[in-house]
Amino acid sequence: MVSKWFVRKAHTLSFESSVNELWEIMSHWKERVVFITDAVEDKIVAYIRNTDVMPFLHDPEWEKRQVRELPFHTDLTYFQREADVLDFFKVFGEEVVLVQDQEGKPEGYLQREDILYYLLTSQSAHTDWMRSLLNSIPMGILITDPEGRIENFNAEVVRMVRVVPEKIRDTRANELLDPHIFRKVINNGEVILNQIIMTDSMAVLADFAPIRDQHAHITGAIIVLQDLPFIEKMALEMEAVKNLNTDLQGILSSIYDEILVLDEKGVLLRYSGSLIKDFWANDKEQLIGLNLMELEDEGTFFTAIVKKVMERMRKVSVTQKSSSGKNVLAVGNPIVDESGRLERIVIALRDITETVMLKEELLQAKKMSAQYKQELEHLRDQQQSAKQRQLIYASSKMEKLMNYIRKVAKSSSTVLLTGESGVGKEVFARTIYEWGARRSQPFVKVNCGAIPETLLESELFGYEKGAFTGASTSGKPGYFRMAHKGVLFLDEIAELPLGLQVKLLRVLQEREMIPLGGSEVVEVDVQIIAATNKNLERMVEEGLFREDLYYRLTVIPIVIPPLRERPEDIPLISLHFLHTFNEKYERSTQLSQDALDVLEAYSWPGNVRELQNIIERLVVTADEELIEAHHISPMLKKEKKRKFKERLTKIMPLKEATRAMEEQLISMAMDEYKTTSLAAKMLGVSQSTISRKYQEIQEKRSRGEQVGFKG
Amino acid sequence: MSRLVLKDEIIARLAGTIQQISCQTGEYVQEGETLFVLVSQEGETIPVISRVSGKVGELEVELGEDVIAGMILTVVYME
Ligand SMILES: Nc1ncnc2c1ncn2[C@@H]1O[C@H](COP(=O)(O)OP(=O)(O)OP(=O)(O)O)[C@@H](O)[C@H]1O
Ligand SMILES: [Mg+2]
Repeated sequence: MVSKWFVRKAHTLSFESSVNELWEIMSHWKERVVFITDAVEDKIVAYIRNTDVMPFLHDPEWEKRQVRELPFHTDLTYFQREADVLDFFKVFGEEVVLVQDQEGKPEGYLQREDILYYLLTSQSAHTDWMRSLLNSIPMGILITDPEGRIENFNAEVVRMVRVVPEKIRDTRANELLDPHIFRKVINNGEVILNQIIMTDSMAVLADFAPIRDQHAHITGAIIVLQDLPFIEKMALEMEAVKNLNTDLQGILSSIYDEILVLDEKGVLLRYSGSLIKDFWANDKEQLIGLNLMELEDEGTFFTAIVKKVMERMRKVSVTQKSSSGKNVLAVGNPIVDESGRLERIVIALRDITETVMLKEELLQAKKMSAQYKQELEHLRDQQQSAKQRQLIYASSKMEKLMNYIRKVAKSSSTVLLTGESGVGKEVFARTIYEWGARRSQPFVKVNCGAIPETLLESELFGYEKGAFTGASTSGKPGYFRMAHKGVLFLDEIAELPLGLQVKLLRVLQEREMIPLGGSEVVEVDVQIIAATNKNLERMVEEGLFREDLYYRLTVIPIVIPPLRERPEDIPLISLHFLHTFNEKYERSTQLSQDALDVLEAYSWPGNVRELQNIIERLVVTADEELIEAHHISPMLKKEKKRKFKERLTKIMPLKEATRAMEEQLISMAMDEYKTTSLAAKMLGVSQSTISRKYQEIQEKRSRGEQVGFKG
Repeated sequence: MSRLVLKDEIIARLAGTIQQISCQTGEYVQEGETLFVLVSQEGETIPVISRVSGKVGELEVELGEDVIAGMILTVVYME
């Protein structure tokens, strides 16, 4: 078998030969292996590889030394000339195999590649199963000609190099693996082992060896490939990263229309997408490699962003309108290395024209609906005010006040309404408006106490269209402009912060104003009606209200008296509310005379509003149609009880205390209910008793004597 | 039903310096409220006002910082 094949000549030396001699043989014969014979036994006992000698080559010391001093190998394998395929199998994988004749004399040797080459290329039927064996080992074996054309290969190769079998014959091993290494093998006859070869599609560990004929001519190469499992994995991961990268690119480009990558100095490295063309004076392709900060004709937009990112080392988002009217959002992001140094600047641009437009429309719609709501409320308000905000009165005090107001209403002067809470300041304000020349113009109410201080300024004076957002919303007119030519009712004026008091004063003095963010002066033509339940004069003294504004507002001061100072109004107002609430709750309750007396006798600290609330409560809760005094009394605040408690603080004769208590109770009842009949009812005694006792009390008082407990 | 949360960017109309920050992240602001005050290069004081009511998002600038025209200072999330 082997005879059909060439056997390499085994060059031999003795242990005593010099290293120089050894090297001469190796280099002359291009031999990788030289054998050593034992002089005594005349038998090959060891071998030396060229790689074993190389470390000592350039040391002149070594040239004269003996071969035995070199590292040599004694693990020899023998092989009979008559050997069968099976014997090949036994030695398969051995590096060096000595071939002996029948007498056991060495004839030459085979290298690992020789055996592989033989097994792979042999056409003998006997070698078929051996070939299939080779095909099943986890190693790729390639036989090529000197040009790299693949002549033979086993199945593993196909898997490892990821080339389909049909294509493999057209493939050049040198191109597939490494042309440089391949050339070294073919040209210099070098054996090159353990080369890691990684490409996009494979990761293998490769051994290259030349194939020589009997004359030591190189006729090709044998390449053994092994899997690199970890590298394979790495490669797969890299593949995954690459895919991820592509995905990311895809995702980014669907979110952003244009992405620029700049280096730390502002030089454009890459870009993708170019939807927003009108931002650029030049073709972007030509800008690659140029510093955007130095390009004058590329405007200030990108320069400003790049500069800002460098300065802040933080994300910068900027919106800009392009010359063609596109709204663009640009987000500049710094990318830093581990030490925090700027490495790259990425600017992502997005066309947000549509979003902006949609948002504007939505905001506009929201504003409109708010406006309609306000108008609707205003209408409803006006309808109600005609009926509900009627001023009801019977007292001469009010009669006089109303006459005064009728005159005031004609003048359009600034009015300050003062009076306790609930006396009707707002109804008066509306009445002045309705009786005045401005009745067909707007009446705008501002509650200075209900709007947060931060907002009050813009609520009052408004702000300009698109002034702050760069977008085209309508701005805000502000109450002054809303009330143009009409009446601006500044309720709770005492709550106006000092800072705004100055601004208001200026508007009142100059009759003009400049809205926030605006530059144009706006004429102001409004009648101001201000109201407060606070003592403004005292606030001025305490420095809580500006004196100059106070005088501006008190052109026409109107003081509305508390309800207790005009009790004649109470029955009429009560009946008015009774009627209103009966209608509202679909009831038909009545007030008894006693009930009306109780209402009239009460001091009404909450004034008309309190009266209104109590009547509403009565109408809602009444079980019977007729509301009587005892239904009402529990609902009214009893302040005097407290006084009474406070006064009884010391021990005194019981008789004296009883009398004092009686006096006090009767005085209280009379104070509260005014009539002896009502007081008697409340105290549970006869009217004559009360009449008599009250008479006594009055007399005592006129004499200047103490009534009740000592105060 | 999920509610649509619209966000409105609060933008510096002109380049300038942030002189005052009158809002905080997470705070609820009203339409018309002044959120920032900036001083333009010409020395003009410009209030930056929210045109919507809602919750203030992350602040993108610090006091004393120079901003560029069109820069987003924060966002307000409307309901
Ligand atoms: N003379 C009146 N006739 C009928 N209703 C009145 C009269 N005076 C006040 N009212 C009603 O009483 C309620 C309170 O009045 P208004 O709101 O004008 O009080 P105010 O002085 O503004 O109180 P506050 O200081 O608490 O704001 C309103 O519902 C109003 O319609
Ligand atoms: Mg009021």
